[in-house]
Amino acid sequence: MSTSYGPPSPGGAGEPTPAGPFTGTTTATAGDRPPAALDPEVLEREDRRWTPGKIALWVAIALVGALGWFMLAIARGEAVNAIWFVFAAVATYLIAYRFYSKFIENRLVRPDDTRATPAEYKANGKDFMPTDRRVLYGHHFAAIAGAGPLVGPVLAAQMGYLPGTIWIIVGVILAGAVQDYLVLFFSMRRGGRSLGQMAREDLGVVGGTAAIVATLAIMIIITAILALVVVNALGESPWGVFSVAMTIPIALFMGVYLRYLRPGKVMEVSVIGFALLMLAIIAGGWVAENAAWAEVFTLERTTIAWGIIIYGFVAAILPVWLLLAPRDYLSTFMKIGVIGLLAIAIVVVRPEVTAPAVDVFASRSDGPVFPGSLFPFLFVTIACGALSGFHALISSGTTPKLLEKERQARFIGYGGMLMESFVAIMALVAAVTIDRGLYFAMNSSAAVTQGTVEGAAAFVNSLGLTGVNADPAMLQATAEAVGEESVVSRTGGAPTLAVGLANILAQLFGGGGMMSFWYHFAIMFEALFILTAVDAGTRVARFMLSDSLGNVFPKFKDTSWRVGAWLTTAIMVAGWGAILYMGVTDPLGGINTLFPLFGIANQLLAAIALAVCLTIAAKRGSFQYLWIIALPLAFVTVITVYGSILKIFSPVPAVGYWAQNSAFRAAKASGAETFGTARTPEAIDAVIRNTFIQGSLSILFVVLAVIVIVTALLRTAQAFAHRGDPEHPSRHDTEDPYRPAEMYAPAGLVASPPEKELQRQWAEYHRAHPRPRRHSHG
Amino acid sequence: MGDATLLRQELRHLLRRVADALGRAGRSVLTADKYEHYLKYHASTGCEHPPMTEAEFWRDYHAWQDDNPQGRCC
Repeated sequence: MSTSYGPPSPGGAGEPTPAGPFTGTTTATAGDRPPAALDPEVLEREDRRWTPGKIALWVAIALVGALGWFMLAIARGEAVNAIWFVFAAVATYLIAYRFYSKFIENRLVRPDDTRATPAEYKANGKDFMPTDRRVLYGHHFAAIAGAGPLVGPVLAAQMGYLPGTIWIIVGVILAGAVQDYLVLFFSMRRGGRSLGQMAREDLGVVGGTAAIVATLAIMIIITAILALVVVNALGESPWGVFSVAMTIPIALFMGVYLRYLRPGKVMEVSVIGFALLMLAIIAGGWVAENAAWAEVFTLERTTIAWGIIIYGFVAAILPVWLLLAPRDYLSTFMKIGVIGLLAIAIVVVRPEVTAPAVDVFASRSDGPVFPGSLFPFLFVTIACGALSGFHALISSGTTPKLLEKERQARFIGYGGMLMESFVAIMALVAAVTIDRGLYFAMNSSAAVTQGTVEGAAAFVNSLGLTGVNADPAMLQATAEAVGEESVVSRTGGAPTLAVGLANILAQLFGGGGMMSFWYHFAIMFEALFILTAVDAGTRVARFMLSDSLGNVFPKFKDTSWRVGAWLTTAIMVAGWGAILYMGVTDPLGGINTLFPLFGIANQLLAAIALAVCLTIAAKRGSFQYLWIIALPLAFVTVITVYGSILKIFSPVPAVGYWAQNSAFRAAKASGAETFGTARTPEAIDAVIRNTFIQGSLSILFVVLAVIVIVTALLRTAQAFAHRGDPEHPSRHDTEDPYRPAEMYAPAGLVASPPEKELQRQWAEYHRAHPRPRRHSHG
Repeated sequence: MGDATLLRQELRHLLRRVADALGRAGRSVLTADKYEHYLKYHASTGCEHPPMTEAEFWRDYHAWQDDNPQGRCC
């Protein structure tokens, strides 16, 4: 995989503003240098050339997709096979990528390959670096996909498999991938600026400030809830606690190895680290079998929460080389490996789906896994995988600084998100192929199952679902098979996914005897992502906070000021730590009340990102195609604002935070000792406090997002009013100035014949002009 | 007989190439080849002073990362 880049330009100062031949998308060159872009006519001819073979291929893809959708949505009778999910998803992704993303590229984005990307004109060997598109696809995917797409679909499986499948696939095509692509492109045109900076420049002070505050608040809640997923997965599980805890010494060892023993041998240390990780999982089994050791590692959820809070603080202030960088290698290694393995396993094993297409909870709002009706709560429960605002933080700031060519933004941005969507589909498959009774027993809160197999079986059977049966012996047998004390009320999605993965992977490797290994392998895999997200998120948030504080107290701008760094880190950790602790001790069950808030926060960030994109596109004058952005923006705004309104104003206590709050306050005032699932006066106080915090956060998020959206709409309207006058201030363009590109690379995964020809010309040119001498301060 | 040996050789050659390509892809995705990219970059700037050694490069890179955290998504 050679990176086909030419000499990076010295950047900035001395570069004359191009005129004449450079201003259009022409093939003009300086001297004998080949053009930096394919001739637009050649490009168009390539796109429009429909050979019989090509037509046959796309007809075949469409037929496979249609068959997949037919089997999932319409065919009834026999049990549905998981392979149809793969067919429906992959065929739909291919069609959307080839046709819809191409349409967006041609009409709305209009990339220009004669224009140098920030990676080229700002190259510094660090964050700005032209990177091979296939490698960058891997980096971008590893940065956007974490535990989110694995958890949301599992919880949404309570409504059956069909609503989640449709939303994941249609949502990604029309919303999620569009957002990622546009944010990536617009940020690239602006030197890789972050979403917050773009908001400030394009929306003004009020909208920009609201966007930054919203981003910070949302990062806190997202980190807290991810950490809560880990706590729930590790609670009362000595095997899980031991093996996940071992990732810390393993990462430290890798860090020291890379710094002092074998600098730069990343692949080598990752293989060693992976082997140690496997050993830690196996050793976890020995720990769980030994009564004395099992006792040591059986921890209360509150203890684990404190552990993660302390860990989060320490990890965020330790130097990157010691813990974060090596763990990131492990996490990437596992991510790419396991997701590939899972895709193969699903295709080979082809498990049968046990869930109905549409469960009764799709039309009710009292589902035991999470409360609320399908509309809007399905769309906030599955955020990552369909539409995830958090991606805007990667698509701006990180990835745009690495793109070689503008036309690659479609493959990386749109294509990268399609891959995450596929991960979400696989997680959904894992959740809908396990026994339905087991699914509800694992995902209903301990407040209703009493945490016992008998209680869980009684509760699940009382739901009155046809064909769903839970019996205590089956629940106990499952716990034993996966090497856990109990699987009842292991909420948060991670344990359910782990059981699903263990089911599928054990059929491929090792059989039933390997169930417990695969279960803990999956738990480790999720915990690794989440811990990486927790300390990377804390670091990013801490820098955002010092930057904002720096506007008031200039001392905070100095990043080498240790006290300031610790203080801001402590503030961020206290923020998510408090919400985590609240979730862990919540008498109502924690994750099922908090997860909707996670989804709403994430989707509100998506609304903010899309609003910024709408303004930018309007300023560019693309009014005819603004609907490409307006459509997902309108949908996500309705979903999140309506969802927030329900969370704030719904009179149903299970749904509305304030309704719950006043119900418990009334109970307290009447002198009740127990109320609902709260069995002590302290628990009643806890509910009153928690619902107050959750309700206040809901209000904060929605207010901030509405400010940003309204500002964006105003700016868009202003730009529209001056559509005939591109020079008007409301049309002010915040792009970096044009610089001519001096390199070439193909746009997509596979280079087309004209792209190959141009690449060949460049290779020849570089042979004729080896090592260009330039004056620069490298 | 001769054909079979030839075929086996061909096959071994092919397998080695696939393994090499996978290894390179893996290294790139893990960012293990960052130093090589730095060397290329350094050469292209035409800078007079010699490039950093591998150990120096990683120290410098990690020190820079301390002040420029990259997000990881959910």
